[in-house]
Amino acid sequence: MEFVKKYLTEIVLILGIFVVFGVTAIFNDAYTERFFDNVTTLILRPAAILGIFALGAAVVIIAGGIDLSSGSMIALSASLVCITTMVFCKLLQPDADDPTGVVPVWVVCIAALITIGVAILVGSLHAWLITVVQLPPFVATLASLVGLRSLSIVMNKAVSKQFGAEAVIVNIQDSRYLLTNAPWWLPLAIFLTLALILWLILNFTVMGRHIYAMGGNETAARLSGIRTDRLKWFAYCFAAVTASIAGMLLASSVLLADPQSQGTGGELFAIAAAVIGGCSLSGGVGRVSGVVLGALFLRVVIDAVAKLITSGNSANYEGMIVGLLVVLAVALNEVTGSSAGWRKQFFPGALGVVALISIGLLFGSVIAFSLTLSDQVANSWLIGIIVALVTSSVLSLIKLLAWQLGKTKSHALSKL
Amino acid sequence: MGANNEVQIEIRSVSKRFGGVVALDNVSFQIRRGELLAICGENGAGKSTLMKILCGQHLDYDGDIVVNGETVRFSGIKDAERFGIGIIHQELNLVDELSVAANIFLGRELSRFGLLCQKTMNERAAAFLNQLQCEISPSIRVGALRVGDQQLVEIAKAIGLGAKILIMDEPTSALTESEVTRLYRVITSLRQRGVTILYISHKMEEIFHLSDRIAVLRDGRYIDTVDTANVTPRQIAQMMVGREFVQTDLRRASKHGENGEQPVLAVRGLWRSWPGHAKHWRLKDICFDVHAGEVVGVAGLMGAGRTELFECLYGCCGDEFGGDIRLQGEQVQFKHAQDAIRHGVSMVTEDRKRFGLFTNLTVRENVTLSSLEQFTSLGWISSRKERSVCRSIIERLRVKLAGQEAEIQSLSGGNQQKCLIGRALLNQPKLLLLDDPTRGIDVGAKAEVYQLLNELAQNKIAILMSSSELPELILNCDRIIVLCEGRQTGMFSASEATEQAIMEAATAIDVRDTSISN
Repeated sequence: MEFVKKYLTEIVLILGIFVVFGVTAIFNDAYTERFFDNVTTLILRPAAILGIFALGAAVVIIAGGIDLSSGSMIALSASLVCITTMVFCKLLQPDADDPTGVVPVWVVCIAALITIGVAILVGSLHAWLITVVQLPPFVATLASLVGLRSLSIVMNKAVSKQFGAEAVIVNIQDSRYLLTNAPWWLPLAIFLTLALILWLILNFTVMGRHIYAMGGNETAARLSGIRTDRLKWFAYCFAAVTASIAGMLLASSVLLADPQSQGTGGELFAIAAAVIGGCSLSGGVGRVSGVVLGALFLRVVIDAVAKLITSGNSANYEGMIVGLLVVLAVALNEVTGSSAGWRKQFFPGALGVVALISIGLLFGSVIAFSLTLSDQVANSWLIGIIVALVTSSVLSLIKLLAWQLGKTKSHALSKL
Repeated sequence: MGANNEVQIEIRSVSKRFGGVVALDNVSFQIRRGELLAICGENGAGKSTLMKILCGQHLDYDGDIVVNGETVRFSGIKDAERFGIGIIHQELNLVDELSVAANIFLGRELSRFGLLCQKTMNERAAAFLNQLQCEISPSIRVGALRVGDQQLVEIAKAIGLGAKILIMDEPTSALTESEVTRLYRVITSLRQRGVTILYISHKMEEIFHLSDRIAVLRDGRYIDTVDTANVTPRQIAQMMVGREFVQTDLRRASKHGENGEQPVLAVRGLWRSWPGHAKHWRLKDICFDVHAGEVVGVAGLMGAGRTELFECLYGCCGDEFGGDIRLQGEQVQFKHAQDAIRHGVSMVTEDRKRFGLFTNLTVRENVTLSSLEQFTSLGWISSRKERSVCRSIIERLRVKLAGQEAEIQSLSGGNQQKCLIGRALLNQPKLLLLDDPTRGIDVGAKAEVYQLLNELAQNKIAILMSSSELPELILNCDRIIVLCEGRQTGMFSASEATEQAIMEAATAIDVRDTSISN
């Protein structure tokens, strides 16, 4: 029972993964027909890449901060690894028409090391801004969120101009480095290794204990003789390095760097995976196992929607799903953690009325839009309106019930 | 002063629990209209909890509050204000950046067509302040006022709300003598206007000067209410602690530092700056020694600089500071708490919740946090060693708990404090800094802390402790230094120290300061 209570998040996530997977398998035969392909390329590989930088986001969150820069860090790293590879190749074979056609392994290794080195510099810069200049973590990493992506674009243009024609997108021709040509388990192995390392650090080392302490109560941690500045340095560097590893994997999955699109919104996906996995944004709380399962769950749900919404661009729905999951996960945490629990009144007063109307409208319009796009139902707009009305009415009923309950409760109290 | 026997508020079997701790246990008594009822009890007796229930801050309790014959259950502070109940907190609830008038009308601003009526508010605020016979400009920023004036603004705010029952929680703890006199005047004028006052204080002199009756609480239970005219301060003190004061002499017989032994801590000419403040310094010219096995007390009113002094010694001081601080002869000036710990200085902070506890960690993790290096190799924690070290310190300090893995919040305040003392002791300190170590813990736990101090001193640890309770310092300390507004205004040996003498030194405001305050 203790075990269940402690690992409730993980248990719920494992159940959730199986349920979503099962439901998708029933409605879409892609899983049953090409099970292995689907699970490896559409779930495990993307989940691993997401999970890698979600681990970084989680460390920062547990340490009591926030890192908004991972999406842009991914773009910068993808660009860096490609552009340094290209530069090396051009220098080695100045006259070749297709210098990146055959890239020596050592060149890729050096490019990767340079990229990770830059990530450490970016992480250190964040730590400096936060601990010395004393910017709030939100502001410091927000600056990187907007800054690093545009830096990558300018960098790609400038370097490619220097070595030929100006271009934002950098291609590598040598298809040996295409991720699909590598064993399918490679990103997964990197992910699980990083997760194992982080798990060991957080649970069995002094630094890990200090990170939880700092996240829980930073002043008390400093007064206990903990060098909080160094811990923050580690956290932000770890976040930047994991994002850069994810960025390099992403670049290798298409063999090009496109800073305009790669990794956009990555920071929110990472924070979402961490939060779904049970990390508290107020710091000090979270486990590696939760984050691993959170990333997997997020990916399974996104893939399920892609399978179930057969027409149009399913990627358009990702934002809505992530938003919904994050709100649900945090709300669930709050509700089970608070003393009022489920007896809490969720739609009090005028704000409650507005909330239940807007939730109804949101549900109705999402249904109407997606049915219209799928071309399968004729009266999609009518169905949308009905869904909106039904949702609002059900929620109103809940409001009325809670109100009645509250009235009888206070009545009983005043009689006592 | 129209005190009659008509009951205005009746408290009927009120109980309140915080988790496993009973803060109030079946408390019942009556408050009469127009009286000044002093509420006495040691820290943790439940005074503040009861007052928070009365003013609508704690909503979740058992029992009834009857106001003017009507059973009420407040839905919040605003609701209590409707019944005319106002509270002046010990820590004032004002917005520093807003003007006096804006504070007085905070939350119920006068407006016309959505625009604020600054002028009317200023006029009315001035009128309220006039009723209190004090001259504070309503347009001045509250942050620029002295604490005593800020308190009057709070009182004016309560009057503005139409308060008929005013709760004052240790209103004089931060006031200078002249400000206290002015507060007495204000209280008299409030009572002439028929306001009932509940007055919480530790200071017998004030209580006997002001009150009609005295209600005593002890360990969350109601003891009795007595007419002030019929009792002596000594009897009240006995009711508060529930036993005759036994002056157990915990002090060690040996004299320290007389045979020329080197002190563990020697402080000469310590100063600490105060950027942006008119005074420019928080501490000035502090000089004292602490020898091995000696307990030195730091006395002073709120804002005298006790915590500021500890911060300088422990390296967690945000301001520039200087002077000659020697630890066993070696000159030191710590930049970080870690430096202090490595040099054998440990501190238990004043505010347990904010600066001490990690509520997300277990008891074991809380206790071992700052000494993890002792049982780690290459950064790797040996959990077997950690557990055994934690067990031994818990047994040594006699902490009562369900187990090492219990949540720290499931412990009572006294046991939490012992855990924090345990954390400090695990660093094997030569010098232990205890900033108000018995704040908010019950009488029994206090006695155990005193016992522990004695044991530690016998083990040759040098202890510097502060306390807001003078009897506690007199009981435990070999020597007491007294601070007043950042300066050292007295030093007493155990034989010289009396409450009277210490309080005189602690309120030794020079003429210049007094003239500013009036």
